[in-house]
Amino acid sequence: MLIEEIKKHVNDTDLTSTQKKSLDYFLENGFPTTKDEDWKYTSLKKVLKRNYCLKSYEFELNDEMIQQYSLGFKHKIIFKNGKIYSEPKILGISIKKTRDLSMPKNSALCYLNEAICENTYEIVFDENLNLDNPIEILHFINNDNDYFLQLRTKITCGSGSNVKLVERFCNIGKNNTLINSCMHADVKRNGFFEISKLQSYNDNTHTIDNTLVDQDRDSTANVHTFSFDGVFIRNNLNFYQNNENCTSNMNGITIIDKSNFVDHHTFVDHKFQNCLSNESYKGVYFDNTKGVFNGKIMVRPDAQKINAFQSNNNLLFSDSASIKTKPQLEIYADDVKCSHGCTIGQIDKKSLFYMRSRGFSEKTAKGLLTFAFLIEVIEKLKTKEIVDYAKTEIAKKLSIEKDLL
Amino acid sequence: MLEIKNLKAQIKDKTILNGVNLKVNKGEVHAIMGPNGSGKSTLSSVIAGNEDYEVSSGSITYEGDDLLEMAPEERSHRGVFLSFQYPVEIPGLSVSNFIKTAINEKRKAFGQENISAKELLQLFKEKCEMLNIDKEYLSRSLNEGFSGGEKKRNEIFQMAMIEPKLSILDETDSGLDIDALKIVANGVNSLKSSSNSIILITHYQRLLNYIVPDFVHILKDGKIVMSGDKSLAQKLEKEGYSFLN
Repeated sequence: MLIEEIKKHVNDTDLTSTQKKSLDYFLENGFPTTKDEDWKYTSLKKVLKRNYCLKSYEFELNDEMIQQYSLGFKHKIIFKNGKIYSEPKILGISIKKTRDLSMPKNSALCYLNEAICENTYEIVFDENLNLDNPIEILHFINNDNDYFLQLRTKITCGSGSNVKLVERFCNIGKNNTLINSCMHADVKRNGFFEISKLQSYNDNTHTIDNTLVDQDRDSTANVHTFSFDGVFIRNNLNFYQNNENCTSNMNGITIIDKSNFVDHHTFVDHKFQNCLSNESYKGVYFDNTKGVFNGKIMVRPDAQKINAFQSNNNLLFSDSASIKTKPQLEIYADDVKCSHGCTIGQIDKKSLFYMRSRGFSEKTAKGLLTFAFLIEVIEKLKTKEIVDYAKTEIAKKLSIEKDLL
Repeated sequence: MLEIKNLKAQIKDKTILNGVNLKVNKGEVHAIMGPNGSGKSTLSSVIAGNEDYEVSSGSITYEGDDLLEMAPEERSHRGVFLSFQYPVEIPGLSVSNFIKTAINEKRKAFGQENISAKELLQLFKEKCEMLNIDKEYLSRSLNEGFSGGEKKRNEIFQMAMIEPKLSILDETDSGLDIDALKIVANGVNSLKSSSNSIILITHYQRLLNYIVPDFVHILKDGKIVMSGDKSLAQKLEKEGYSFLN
């Protein structure tokens, strides 16, 4: 059992008092089960069944491997099994390893992460630092055993700074890996923070991706999540608007096939007035895939003049594919504008015939109709390399030439 | 070019075409008129290959080959074009990308190279001028937010770009004001040649003042009950369908 392995592992390590407390919490509560409301449709049972080890493993990394996973940005922060491997030399960015770092938590998995993660990093972007190009965060992962890996990063986006990140987990090994990642972004006053998560994993990778964003006054935070491959992906994305005039944008494109599974749980906590949140997730499900979307928006009593928009639209391409989608709005203020909408549908037959009668093959017609369905989200992306990545992956999934998009 | 023999077709057990016979030669313009529900649109849908309709008997031969055996896209590649009565809207797909892909899909089917950007631009320019279309409209989403007239004009624009051999215009005139009708009719006339054919499906003789048909057929209860020259349309306009009884 994994719990036994965890207990054994901590016996050999010195835990700080915070870590001990977190461990106790985890051991008391255990891994989430489908009895927990937030995990109702997402069972970890199968994922947890393997004999994972918690010990890291040394492996070689070369430029070729890095290039294979990189979108080609100049500056990269590279980790090997969670341990820093290389960092960019840019004035105004500091990366340091820390041990005792508490973060907001949204499930027992975050407590576990706090208790047993051995490589916690704090990446600080100085005040008024203005980065033109995104920085890539590449996590290379490999082990000679099935591996349960904790990743833990705190990002401080200094006041008035402009930070864009691209994050990718690259499991280059053949063994099964379960990644439990916690990222806490602290976006200071008037800061701009953006992260694009590229979820193109191999068939041995299972991920639980916790992203927690704290926002101060006048700040903007954008999180773009691209889920294309991976047998099991659970994303927990939380925004906490801790002062006035915050903007939180969440965009998601999910296209999965085979028997893959993706679950997006998002939460926006509107605590102050004059804030905005905008959420748009689109999903395309082939074969025997399963999807879950749960978007919770909380508008607290003092949070007047809030605009909160949410939409989740899904296309099912097979009778055996399914999506469970649920908007969840809790509004305690009276002067707010909130909207939400979920749709599940199939490719429109009339449109398909129209296109075929103009000479489009069925594949091309379906592909272009699907791309047209996704375009609203793609148009929100401002970085050329990211748009290019998305188009490449989408074209691959739809089996059409990328030039058509 | 097209020969329809004793065509019977149905949608969900309801027989709509009940033995249609029609022969269209190269360079001819045929008009098909008839009361509501007589099967005009069904006939055009069956020719284009709409799988909602089931052909129960009869045949359609196109350039000597069995048209009913061909997928809708293959019919298009071979030169069959249907101008839809109700063109669909596709938000997120631009008019230019749609037409470019349509042209390239056909080229691909014949093992030809994609159309060059230069060639395509020239073609767009030429056809936009012909149909009095503002070039800005090429970057709009296909039919999204288009007025009824704009949608119909867009169909003819596609026809001009694709250059089909057999065009079926299904009530292209309905919803057009007189100026738009003239522009569309002029467009169709300039696309007309001795090597292509046109089937006009219409309710009104008005269109036939601008596009003069060689033959006029009256479809009623799923059958062609009368054929004649353009004077038949005039008679119909004057007397209504009652004279058929």
